[in-house]
Amino acid sequence: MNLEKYSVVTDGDHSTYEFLSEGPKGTIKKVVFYQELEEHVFNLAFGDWDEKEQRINDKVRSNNTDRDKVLATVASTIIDFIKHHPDAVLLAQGSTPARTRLYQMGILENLDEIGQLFDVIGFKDGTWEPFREGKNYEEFALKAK
Amino acid sequence: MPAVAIKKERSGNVSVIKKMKDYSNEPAFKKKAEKATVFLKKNGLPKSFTKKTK
Repeated sequence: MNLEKYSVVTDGDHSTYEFLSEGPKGTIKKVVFYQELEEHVFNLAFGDWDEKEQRINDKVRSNNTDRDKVLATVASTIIDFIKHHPDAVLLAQGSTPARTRLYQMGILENLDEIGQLFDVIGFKDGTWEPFREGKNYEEFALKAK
Repeated sequence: MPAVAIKKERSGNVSVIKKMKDYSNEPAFKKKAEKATVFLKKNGLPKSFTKKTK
């Protein structure tokens, strides 16, 4: 599988990624930031850079009709991040339940690529379980195989 | 993206630049980190899923 992705830039530490979404709403800078919560455990934070407000907005729906390309690009940052932080466990939760579902769709759509490289688990009703299609998880975690 | 960005490495669609904005103090991201930390403290991760350092 070779989904279309945006070009991404990252810092030398491979913990911050930026890319530009292009669509009918214009050019929107997207930021993926991997936050270390505790040793080897990182959280995926994702949002739009609001030029007017000069801040990150992680709740806006940009409606730039490029959802799949954005999700594939975020997935590519996960792959690059883990490549440079091979012991990392990565947590991901959307800023809203709808966005968490979007992440889930992103995992599913990129499962061929992600599943070959990572173990993925989902959290639901108080327990972790191997990621399964058709379930709505509250949180995800993944690590390199 | 900074106009002065200097590409020094490229892997697939990812390029490394020397200097990038520090987003660690962005309120939205700080809130996300706090929420994730609370979740982690409350629910932890499966032992089989955590790796020990070598």
